[in-house]
Amino acid sequence: MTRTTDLVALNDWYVVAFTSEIPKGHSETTVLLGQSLVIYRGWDGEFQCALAHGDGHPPPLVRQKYGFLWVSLGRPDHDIVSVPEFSEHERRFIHRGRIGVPSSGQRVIENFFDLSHFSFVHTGTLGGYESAEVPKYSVEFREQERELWAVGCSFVQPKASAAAGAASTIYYDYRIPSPFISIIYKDSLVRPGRKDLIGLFIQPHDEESCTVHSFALVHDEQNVSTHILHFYHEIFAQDRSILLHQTPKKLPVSPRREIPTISDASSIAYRRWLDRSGLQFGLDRASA
Amino acid sequence: MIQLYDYILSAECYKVRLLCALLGVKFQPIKVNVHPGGDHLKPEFALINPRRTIPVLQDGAHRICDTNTILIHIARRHDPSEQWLPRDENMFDDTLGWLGFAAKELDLLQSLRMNSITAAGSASRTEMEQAHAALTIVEDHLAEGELERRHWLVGKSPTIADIAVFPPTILAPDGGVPLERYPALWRWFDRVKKLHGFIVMPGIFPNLSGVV
Repeated sequence: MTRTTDLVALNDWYVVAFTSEIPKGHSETTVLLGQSLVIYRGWDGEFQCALAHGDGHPPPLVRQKYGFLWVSLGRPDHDIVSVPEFSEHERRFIHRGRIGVPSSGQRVIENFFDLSHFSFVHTGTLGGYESAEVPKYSVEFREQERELWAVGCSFVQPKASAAAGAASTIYYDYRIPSPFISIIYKDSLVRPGRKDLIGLFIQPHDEESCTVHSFALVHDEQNVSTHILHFYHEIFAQDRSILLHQTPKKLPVSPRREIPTISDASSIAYRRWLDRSGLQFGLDRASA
Repeated sequence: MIQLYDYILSAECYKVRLLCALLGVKFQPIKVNVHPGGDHLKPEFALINPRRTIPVLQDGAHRICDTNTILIHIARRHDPSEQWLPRDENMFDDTLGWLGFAAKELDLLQSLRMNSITAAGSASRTEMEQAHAALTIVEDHLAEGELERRHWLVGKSPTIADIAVFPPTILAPDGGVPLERYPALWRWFDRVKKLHGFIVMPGIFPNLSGVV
């Protein structure tokens, strides 16, 4: 595996572990952007990260935030994504575990905010055959085009969350603050007017495989965490089995490679936004 | 009521859920945090099952900690037709033979799948060859059976042999093992999916002909 030379990819922050996954005094090896890393957790709980084969590259930057361990291999010109809800303490935090996906991180992100697959991939939970229509939503750029948002999304969901007792129309906003991060803000079924959050922090190993680190911040006092976790894993494993069959594994960004419909507005915006960002890693830039 | 220690992504647990669904047997699931919690490996769980595996079936005071034994137990107790565990001597032997095959030769497919899903690693070349060797045994058996109008692993009706072999084989792609070269397997998958009462698990999609 070779370390990417893509500066746009290198100069970003990535989650490489959930901090409590690595006990004190233990180390773990992993791969980020084609670069092998050794992560070591000292007895004081602090983390160090070194390149397995340095080849003259600077040591990685390491931070702990939101319970996750973040690494940058380059010189990021921005901070780790701001998610103020982590410090609000009104929701329950659930670490959803790592899931490996043999596809590009961008394929995972695109699938995450796609609404039209709900009825056919998550039948009985996030969608149903009788209500497959994707109502109109809008796409916005925020923070000087740093962030892509799909807002006002809605869908009729038979069982929108582990806490759901009946079908309801659920409103969503999707936030994509970096090519490899997406956070959903979804109507809480327990506290009307408040939002639950589900976030994906993707660790791209190479251009065609990644690990998805993810969390939920939910209003749910009823269900035990394991019950909520089983609900999420059911959804995620369904997505994963679809992602396995998407080709090419890298995400095509040329308009000539797609035949979109109105419901794909967020996907199209994501692909154009990635194209403009100058990112090469994990993208298929062939025009036909 | 029967209780089942269960994890949604466990294909072993799905074998039990599927047989229960096909026979109309109700059970109460006890959900275990297998990933990322690893709760089944903890000392507390060893009090429930010293082998620290799931599924575990609790039927009254009786506890069973082995998938094949659970399938046999449910078939004996809840299938008066005796179809799912045939009492005919040869068919009984063949059924148990496939249960052993599922536990031994197909265990690799199960571990490749869980490793791949939990980002713990991918298949080596040797493992890939072993996986395909096991799949080829099922493929050849099914293809030969079709010539003799035997459409199930044992005889002309589904048995718990089909229930034990179906999940690890159909879910092989989840573990990075492709199924393109096994046409008889695909035809058999479709027959399983059309059984009355069939249920899915994540990674397995229903037969949608006539639905959408």
